[in-house]
Amino acid sequence: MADDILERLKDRLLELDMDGAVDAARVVADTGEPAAVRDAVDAVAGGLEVVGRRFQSGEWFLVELVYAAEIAKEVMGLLSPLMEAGTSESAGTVVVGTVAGDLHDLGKNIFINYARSAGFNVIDLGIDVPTEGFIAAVREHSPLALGMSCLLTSTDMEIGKVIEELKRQNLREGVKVIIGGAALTEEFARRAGADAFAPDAITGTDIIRGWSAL
Amino acid sequence: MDFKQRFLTAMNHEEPDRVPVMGCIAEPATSNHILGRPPADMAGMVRNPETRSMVRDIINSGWTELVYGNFSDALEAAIKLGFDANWTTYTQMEAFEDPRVEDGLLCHDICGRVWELTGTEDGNIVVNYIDGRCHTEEEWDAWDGTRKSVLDEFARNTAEHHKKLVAAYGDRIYPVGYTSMSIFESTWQCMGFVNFTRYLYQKPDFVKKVIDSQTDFYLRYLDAVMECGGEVVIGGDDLGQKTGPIMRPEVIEELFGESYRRVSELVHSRNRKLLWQSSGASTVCSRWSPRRAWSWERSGSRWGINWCWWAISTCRTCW
Repeated sequence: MADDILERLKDRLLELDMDGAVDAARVVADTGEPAAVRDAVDAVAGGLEVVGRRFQSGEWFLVELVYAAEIAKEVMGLLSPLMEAGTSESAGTVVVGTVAGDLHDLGKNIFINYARSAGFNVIDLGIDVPTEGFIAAVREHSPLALGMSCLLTSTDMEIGKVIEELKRQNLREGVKVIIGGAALTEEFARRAGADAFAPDAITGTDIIRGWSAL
Repeated sequence: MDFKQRFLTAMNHEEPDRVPVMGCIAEPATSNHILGRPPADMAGMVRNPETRSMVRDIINSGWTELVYGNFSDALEAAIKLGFDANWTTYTQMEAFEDPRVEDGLLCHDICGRVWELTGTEDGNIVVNYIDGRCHTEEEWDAWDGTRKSVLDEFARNTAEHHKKLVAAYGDRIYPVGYTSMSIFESTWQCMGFVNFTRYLYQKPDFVKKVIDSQTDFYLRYLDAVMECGGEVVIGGDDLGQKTGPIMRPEVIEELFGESYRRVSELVHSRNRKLLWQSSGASTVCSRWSPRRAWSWERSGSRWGINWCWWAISTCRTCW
């Protein structure tokens, strides 16, 4: 695949030009070549890594972070169906959900977009997930990590319940637990027995990337 | 000095006899705790499918009394704690039963937002934003048209609410009227954050139309709050999230600067003082300011606001 179209795809993403990025992805998709599609997916992932670094350094803001993820989602909607099964090695499986009693999904969805672009197979359990929902998913998928999102202080106790249940069912040793959301802090993560707290989606993706490399 | 003199002296940038304390007590959970009251039965009723429709009817037919009772309790709690002032606000919601909220009710507010109302295990009612009602420009146009028909009633209820609280509690504490449904927050929340980011880039004229409408609404709301006669009114907006400002400060100024200037002009034209708050966001913006070129001083002078920093007492949930 010509490097210039891959370059264009990444540049349009970083310019937050959705039409331009989708047009570039369509050129790739029209070739029908699995290798070209794989290169384009890598270009998108590389672009999102730059977005993440810009966000963490304070150069970009939440609005830009979310819109870049939306562009990536549109592009991946074109490319994903053309990828051959098994051609891409997963960085690991991550189970993610918002805890019981909490219907918020923005932070969770941003994390999922960036984790997927980093090569993780993400199982999204959605919002208002009861303890047994998290446990069943961990049992079924044996993930590298379990991510729990919580925006409300009125539901933060759900995180401790899930971790306790993981221990009770002898599942805790086999899975890392990462938590994030407006209601939570590093201190809360320590007290609840989680392995990590993610103040934002990009840091969260960096943390699970580190676990994947171990 | 009494509580009022103390508060107004500080607002005039003069030194009072001691630091005045203004509470931000608003939620039943906080008031009940301070007043040593058991939580209201409504929490259990809203969790129970058999009594939920009763709660819905109480909300829809007696909203004005419910909000008054809530802030009446909040002022009693603030008085008990010895505060000099406490904020008061009026909002408007309509409740529905909806499968999206299995153990509670769904509520629509007058800014186009959708909230979940549930009861907690310890028996208190909590209300949290979950979505917008206007995901497209067509939905916004249709909804904004219907909102116009209820604005007069809303403004009347807002003014009456604050007048009644001042009449009942003004000799024991300084109630400060607060326009809690703010411009930036209502703008993105009525369409949802992801849609807001998409429209910012793809349909900026639509976003501007929503901002203009939410600003006009806010000014009407503010005017109604000021009818209670208080010398100070609280406004604000939540401009930040956990790790920084939500938007590039230059873009906030470009899109919302004119709105905030109009807010400031209206308050000052009524010879009142404006106390501006931004919840945790102001702290975040301040913390990031050297790196992100955010200047409160510059923004303040541009919008005609003298910034006044103040602390918020513990909030149980996000409003």
